[in-house]
Amino acid sequence: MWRYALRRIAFLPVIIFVVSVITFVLLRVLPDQDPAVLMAGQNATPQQVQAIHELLGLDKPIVVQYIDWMSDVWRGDLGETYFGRRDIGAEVLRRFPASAELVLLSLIVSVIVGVSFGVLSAVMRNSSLDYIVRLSAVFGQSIPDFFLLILLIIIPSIIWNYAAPIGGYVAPWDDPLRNIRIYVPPSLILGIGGAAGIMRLQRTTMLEVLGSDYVRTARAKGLGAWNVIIGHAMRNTLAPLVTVIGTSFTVIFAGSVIAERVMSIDGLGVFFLDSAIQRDFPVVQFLVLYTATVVIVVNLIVDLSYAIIDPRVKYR
Amino acid sequence: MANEAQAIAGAVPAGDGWAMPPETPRRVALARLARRNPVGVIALLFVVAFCALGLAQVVSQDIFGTVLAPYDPRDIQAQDQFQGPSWEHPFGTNQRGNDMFSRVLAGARISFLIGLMGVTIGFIPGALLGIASGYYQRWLDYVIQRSAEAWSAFPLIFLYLALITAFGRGLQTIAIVIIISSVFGGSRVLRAAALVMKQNDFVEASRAVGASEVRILFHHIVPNVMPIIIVGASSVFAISVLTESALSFLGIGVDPGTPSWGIDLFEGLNNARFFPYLVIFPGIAISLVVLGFNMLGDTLRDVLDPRLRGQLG
Amino acid sequence: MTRIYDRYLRQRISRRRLLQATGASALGAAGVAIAGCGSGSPAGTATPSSEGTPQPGGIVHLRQSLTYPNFNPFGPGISALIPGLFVGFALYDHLWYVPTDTGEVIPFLADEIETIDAQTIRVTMKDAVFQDKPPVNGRAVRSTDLKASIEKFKEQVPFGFSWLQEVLERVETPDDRTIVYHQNRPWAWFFTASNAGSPWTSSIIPEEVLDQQDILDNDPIGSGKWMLAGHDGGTNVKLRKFQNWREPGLPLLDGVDYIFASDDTLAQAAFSAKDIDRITGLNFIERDEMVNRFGDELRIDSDLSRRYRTLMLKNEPPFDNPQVVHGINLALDREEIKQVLNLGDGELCGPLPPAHERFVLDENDPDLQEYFRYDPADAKLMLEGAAFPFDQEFVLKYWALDQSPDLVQVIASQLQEVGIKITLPGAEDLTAWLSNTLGPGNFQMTAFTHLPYEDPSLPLSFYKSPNFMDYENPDVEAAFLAAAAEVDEEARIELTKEAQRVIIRNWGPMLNLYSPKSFGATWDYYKGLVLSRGSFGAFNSRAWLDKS
Repeated sequence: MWRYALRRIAFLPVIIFVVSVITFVLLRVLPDQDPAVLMAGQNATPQQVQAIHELLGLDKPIVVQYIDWMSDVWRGDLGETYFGRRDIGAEVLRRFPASAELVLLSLIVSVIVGVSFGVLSAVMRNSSLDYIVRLSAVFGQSIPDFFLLILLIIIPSIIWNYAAPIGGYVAPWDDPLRNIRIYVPPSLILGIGGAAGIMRLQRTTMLEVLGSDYVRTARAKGLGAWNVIIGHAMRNTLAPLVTVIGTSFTVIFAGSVIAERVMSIDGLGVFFLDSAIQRDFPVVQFLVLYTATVVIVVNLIVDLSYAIIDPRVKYR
Repeated sequence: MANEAQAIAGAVPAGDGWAMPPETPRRVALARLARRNPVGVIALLFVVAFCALGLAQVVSQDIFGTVLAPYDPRDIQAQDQFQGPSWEHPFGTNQRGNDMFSRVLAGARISFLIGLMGVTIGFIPGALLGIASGYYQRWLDYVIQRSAEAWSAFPLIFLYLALITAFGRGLQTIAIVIIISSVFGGSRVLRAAALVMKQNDFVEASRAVGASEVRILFHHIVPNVMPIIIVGASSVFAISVLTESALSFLGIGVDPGTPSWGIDLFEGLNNARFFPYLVIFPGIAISLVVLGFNMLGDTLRDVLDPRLRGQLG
Repeated sequence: MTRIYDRYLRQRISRRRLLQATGASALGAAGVAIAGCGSGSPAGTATPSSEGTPQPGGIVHLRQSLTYPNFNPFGPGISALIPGLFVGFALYDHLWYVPTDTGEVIPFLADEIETIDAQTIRVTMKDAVFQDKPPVNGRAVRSTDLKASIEKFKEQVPFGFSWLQEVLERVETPDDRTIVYHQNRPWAWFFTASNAGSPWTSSIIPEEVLDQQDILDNDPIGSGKWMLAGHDGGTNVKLRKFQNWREPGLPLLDGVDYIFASDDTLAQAAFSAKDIDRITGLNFIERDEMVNRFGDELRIDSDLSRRYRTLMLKNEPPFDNPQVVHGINLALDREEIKQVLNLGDGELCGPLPPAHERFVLDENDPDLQEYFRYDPADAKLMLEGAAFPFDQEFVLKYWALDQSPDLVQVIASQLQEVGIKITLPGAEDLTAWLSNTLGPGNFQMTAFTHLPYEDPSLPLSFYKSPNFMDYENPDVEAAFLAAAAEVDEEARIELTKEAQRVIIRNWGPMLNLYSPKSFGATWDYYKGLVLSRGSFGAFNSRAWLDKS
């Protein structure tokens, strides 16, 4: 187990390294992409462009540039945006809470909805509830969240002239109501989309566990049905559940870009989107590194907790 | 929009329990499925209908240069803008006076093309690669596994954002992202299946009677993982359609004016408050197509997964 | 075919509906603009006095539709235009301002303006102080601040032809209150050109921060009526009243909160929820929907914008041939473009946008009529005559906002009618478009919407070299300069008209299409607005909130 964990952790920087090198090179080798020309403005002389080249270190070999950049990032200096010279580190920190809250809330929604309905669906197998739950899982997976998010804006507006507040992040402890009004509705949409996988897996594993000998034994001992489900059966569905939560996280993480865009939430997803459209390389470069790290670390945590929850699992 | 490899893995629980006894008569299983699962049949019909429409649009638009629709979806009709749904324009008209019904019909082309590319150029080669890598398990396996892992470090959308910064936007970049993801997605799922399959008795038996590796691969392994390929393909198709429309919706997908359901929703961001029908019909179109493929995949999975057989219906 | 347009057209003229729309509106002028009949105000309804007594206080919420990359008005390059205009309106003070409708010089910080000779203007300033933020700490505004600001603008924002670079020779500051402008030639557009047509390069910035990029970028200090109180990386900008502004007691409002909404749907929903107090850019169907829904609670206004949509061609083959430009112009159906983008509300635009009423060509002018003529058959002949490369694909670039995606689609379809092949790439972000496409002249064709310039010479100066298209024509330049040198207004109007004719006859490769007219809606509690006077309304300090 620990050897496995160590190996995974050791592999982590390798993946991140590969990903960041590929992005770095891609952004630099393409023609017509000289940021110095953009920064210098229209009437810049070649000398001015050259000066910016030197300032940004663009005249150095690409390997040196990469090492410089990486060591800057390591020291916490993420550089400035091309358009506007904003400190990228400060921007990322400012935008992080909004994105994190959206993703976290959505994940909580998807776990709660997914697990509870998955269990219900398994316990009440073949009932109409089971059928509805399974059907809505497919619906949740199929209806694009961007479509639902537009409906989320227009339907309350058409019926009640209601709109969720927009205009900047408010921490839940500063203004709980406003925070809820901003983040809960899109989280429900993202979360229910992400719940489909959890729901389905929870149902399947629950059915399996309910059919196993030890549950029958527990029932035979005279334990109540819900006692058995919560006390015995649930525990044994945890391991696969954790895995699928990792997948749901990825779904939600991607969906958060769309939700931020549609709801005008000023988060990291929109930062990535806008910077990609503007070709603001330093931002894209860092956010590639950031998203890769987040996804990899989350998956690592998932895999490791899998081993902790289910000691039978042996990793090579 | 999720990372494809993981999404497929989520849709198709790979690993043990997937070994189909080779003697199962598939035709019987499908017939049973049809009787027991009307929803699946409807989904299948819908998928077939969509594919027929998509194919017809590809043929008419790319070969004959006309659109199979009552109106030209790009035809600008000043004076005919923002008409609500009517007999003449069942889905209304948009801000340029484009007939939305025609746009929705014509938009099937992009969705179908992208889905098809994801499955044929991406998933199926990926699946074969996965089977080979799972079966042989040598350096090939290692390379594929590691690259799939690195690739899956990103949700698709982030990958695409990184790529458009370098290559620019458009159908090509979308296709690249979807195809590569499908390759890795396919290889990941099918590798797991092939690993399990390899340990089955009948493979051992074939080997014992002196069957060649290639023969084992194509006569025993491939036919037996076929259900997984079918389910996976259906899921890949759905994900590809969803991905293209999401990217176009963000304004970073196909070029404007191209009839695409994602573009229609993107334009709706500026008009939906007063003209909701401009987003509702394209939104329903995407949902139905994705739903069709997911339902189909679901039904197949339920029927083909031996652990759940007998628990359905 | 039921044509919704006709239906709405009929509705639009209905007087009763109109009165309902304007309701208790104080804005008689706005009402007239809607009716389009140009005289009188909606009789029998409320008059401006019904607005009640202005009371100070309150914070108004307005929509912000794009992110400012920073607040630095100096660039680099032309992308500084966006933050430059914002801070120019909101934070920095100016000597004067010239509203387009009247053309009179309205002094702001200027106390006395004295034209010493045709090339020299002396201005004395009123008392004013800067906002109380370090390192300026609320000190008095001096003429040297203005001098230093002008010099920095002159050095930092060189693009296209501009008064600042080409005409202004130097500024002198005989004392702390006085500033003298020396021009290298008489320039009759002095009062409008000195701020680049919009209050940007006339901003008065404290001289000690001019080299402090961090302050200019993130926490600018001005002497205008608003102070920057906060922002989220260029969005959700919060402005607060500057208590020591040169006009005591003003502004009446305590502040303005800009709320970022990138899309119209979101903004319209926020407006309906009263989270935003005013919304603009509605078409008439949307306006009617709003009125049906909210009736008397709303006031509707409309404005023929000084903005205008344009198709700009790069002056290189084949567009360096006037006959090609003429042919393309004949292929453009301006009426259709106006119909598609603004449901027909707007006016066709010659070389000078129609909002500069006093200077534009008469609609019966034969040259202007040729400019507006739409004749695809003729266009084709002319292009064939000029050996136009019909097999070549041309890329038409544009940015994402302001309906530009629809604009380029209509233009592309019209040009395709006559056989010109057009490729539309993905939309660019505005900031990126300014720096990557327009600024460096990196385009074959680009279509966009101009800003609302108050300076009537500015739209014409696009044809004067240097410009974004690399267009050079001695006749056009001579006509432009002749108008600028003419001090007498009547004569200058004639010369300006002549310059427009010369531009048309030479087929300068920027083809103006039309000026949009759209509708604004304001909640009735947001009062005292100055509307229909172009950007002048942005300097109004007497708007107030009636929310008791």
